[in-house]
Amino acid sequence: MTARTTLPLGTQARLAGGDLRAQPWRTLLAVLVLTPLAASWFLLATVARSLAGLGTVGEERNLVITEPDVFDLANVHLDRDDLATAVTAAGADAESVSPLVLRLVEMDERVLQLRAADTATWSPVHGVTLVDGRLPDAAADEMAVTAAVQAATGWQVGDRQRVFGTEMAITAVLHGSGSKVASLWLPLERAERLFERPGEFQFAVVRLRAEADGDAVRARLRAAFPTLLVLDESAIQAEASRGVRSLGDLAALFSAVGVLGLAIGAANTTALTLAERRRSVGLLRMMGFTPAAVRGLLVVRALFLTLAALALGYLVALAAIQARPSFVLRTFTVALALEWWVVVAGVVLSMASAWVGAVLAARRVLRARPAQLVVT
Amino acid sequence: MTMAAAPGVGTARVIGPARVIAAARVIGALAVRDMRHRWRVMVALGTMVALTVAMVVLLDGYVHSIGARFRSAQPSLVVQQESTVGEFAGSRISAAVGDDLRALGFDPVAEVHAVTGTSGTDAVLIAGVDPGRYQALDPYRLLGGRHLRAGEAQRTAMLGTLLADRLAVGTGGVVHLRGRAFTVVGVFELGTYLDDAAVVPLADAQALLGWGDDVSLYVVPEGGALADGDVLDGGLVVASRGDIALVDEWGPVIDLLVAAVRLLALGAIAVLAVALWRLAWLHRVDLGVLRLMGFGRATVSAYLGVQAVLLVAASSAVGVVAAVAVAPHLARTTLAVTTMPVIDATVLWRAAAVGAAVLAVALSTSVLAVHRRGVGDLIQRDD
Repeated sequence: MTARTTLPLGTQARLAGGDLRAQPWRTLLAVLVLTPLAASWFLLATVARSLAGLGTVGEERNLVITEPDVFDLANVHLDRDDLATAVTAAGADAESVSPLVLRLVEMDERVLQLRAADTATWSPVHGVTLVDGRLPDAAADEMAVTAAVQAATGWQVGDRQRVFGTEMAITAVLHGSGSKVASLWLPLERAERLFERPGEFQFAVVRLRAEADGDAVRARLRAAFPTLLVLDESAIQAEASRGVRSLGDLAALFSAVGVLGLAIGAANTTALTLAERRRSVGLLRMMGFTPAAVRGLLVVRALFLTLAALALGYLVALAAIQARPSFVLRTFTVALALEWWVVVAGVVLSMASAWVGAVLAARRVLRARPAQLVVT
Repeated sequence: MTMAAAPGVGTARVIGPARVIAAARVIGALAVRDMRHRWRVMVALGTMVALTVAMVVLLDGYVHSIGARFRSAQPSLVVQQESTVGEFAGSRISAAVGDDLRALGFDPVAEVHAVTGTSGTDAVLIAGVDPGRYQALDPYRLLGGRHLRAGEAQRTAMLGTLLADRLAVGTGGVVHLRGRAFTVVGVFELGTYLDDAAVVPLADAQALLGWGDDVSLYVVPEGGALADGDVLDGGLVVASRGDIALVDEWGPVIDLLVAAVRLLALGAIAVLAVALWRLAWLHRVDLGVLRLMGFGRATVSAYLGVQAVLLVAASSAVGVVAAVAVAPHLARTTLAVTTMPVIDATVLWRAAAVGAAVLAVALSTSVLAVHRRGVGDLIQRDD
């Protein structure tokens, strides 16, 4: 046979596919060895991505004013005088300045936020909209919950839950830009009665006009409140979720290791093939296949195996994720999802790992002379 | 493999201990020589096992530390504001509750728990305690300095060891809580979330927070008129002390991480098994010749066993050392509490169990690869 320098990709794929089909059980075993590694990578990448996305909640045009001890909300006491000062400092740049009561509440073995504001501000300032039911009546023991709370707890409109010693009926489910936060929403007056602190709130929320210079308003507010904190709402949420997101670092670290595992696994699979097929490789070389052509065959074979393992691993990861697609962690909703670009990134990284692994595993055999491979 | 280097081992017969030791030495030397010859494969496999063991240890250490620090239920109860995690922050109740408890026959101990700080980096957990009674409630280990005393002229605090490390302050130093200076009189270790706390006399904590006589909770012993879960008038609830009910919400994410690491471990075991199968396959002719020369199956198993033990033991040790080195860098402070993988004896034992499982699978795979074939099959080259 005349020596050829390369094989067309289609031919490589056909030959590699034929080789894999020729020994189906061995092929299945090789795929099953790589599948847990692929599933592990998808799971870790999903956790890392889902936790990393927590810092993007909060309304962009909202500035919040609060006391420095922002971590113990029961110790934050703003009043109407603070609100009036904020109105003056923000001036015409503010669409509105409104009070927000905010507490952390432990219910059903998880921590949720309790938010209370004038119901007229719920949509225009806080970005929540009514999905189901009706807004709670300030005169009654009623509250609304965000869709995140409903997803985490299974509570329905009409259910009753005890909050700070009072049984509240759920009258509405809310949704909106802040829906990543698992919150109970009360009318402001009802919260004031619940906590027996009339006129007291934890945050003054300044809603900026679209054309306002946010930096200038922030500077004026800081001058007006030298002992208080003035922050973007998104920044304060990002700070609050920082600890939760840090767990994503761990998942990201592990997923990096997972890719290395795939590379070693793919290299090992190819090496096993070569160990059992030294004579076959020697015969191919004797027939005129160049080292590059044989390497190409082995690489395509490894890529096929890895692709099959990725498909199975994806299904395994998907099943694990769908068993609990979302949950509440430190008042934030973590929605697990295998984003398309994460899948693509996983496939590309894994295929690259398999390619590297196969090339490394084949290197030594392909350096040997064909006769040496056939007779030893 | 050098067949000439097999002294003292002949056809199957009863041999003395000295000859067994000599044979073991030869087998061990042959196995190690072969590992050196295939050092690239060994390094790759060792890396995989080491990384897997490191990840298992780190994750197990993380889960273990969360459970130990936040779920150390004690034989006492707390009376706190309903819907709050009173032992952490958020609960504020009147001193009159203490009178009510005394009327019920209890001798309640008041505590204040709060978090101060303006950002995640300077948030500090404060525990206000009764200087005369707190040592009995939380039998901590004093790492340096002395205990709190009642009626001291200056503001004093004891720091949990994690907080002391985080603030880089020791005994004799000064910490600022809500802008007020407290002299650190001691550093302690308890093994719970209080290792992140600044413990101050109750009156100082109340003054610091502007609470007057209010407290966060009262501690009462179990076995009286109250029980875990009781709801009292005035929006109060009874809960078990030490179980601050924040662990469960971490469950789903921990479960996913555990599942991912278990899958990775499974993959690592499978890859290792395949690799050792391959090594045994590569040596099948050599091992067949050994068998022909009179080496028993046990000798061949020993040869494979030496390789598996060296590979798994060495790489597991590297993995554990790496985990111990990396663990402090994975510490994260969330809302004044630091979580990090804690690698203690419990975690190390579990890691050893994982290593043993890997070893068992690896060894049995390679032994099976050789033993299921007769000598004739082993020495026949059919590839």
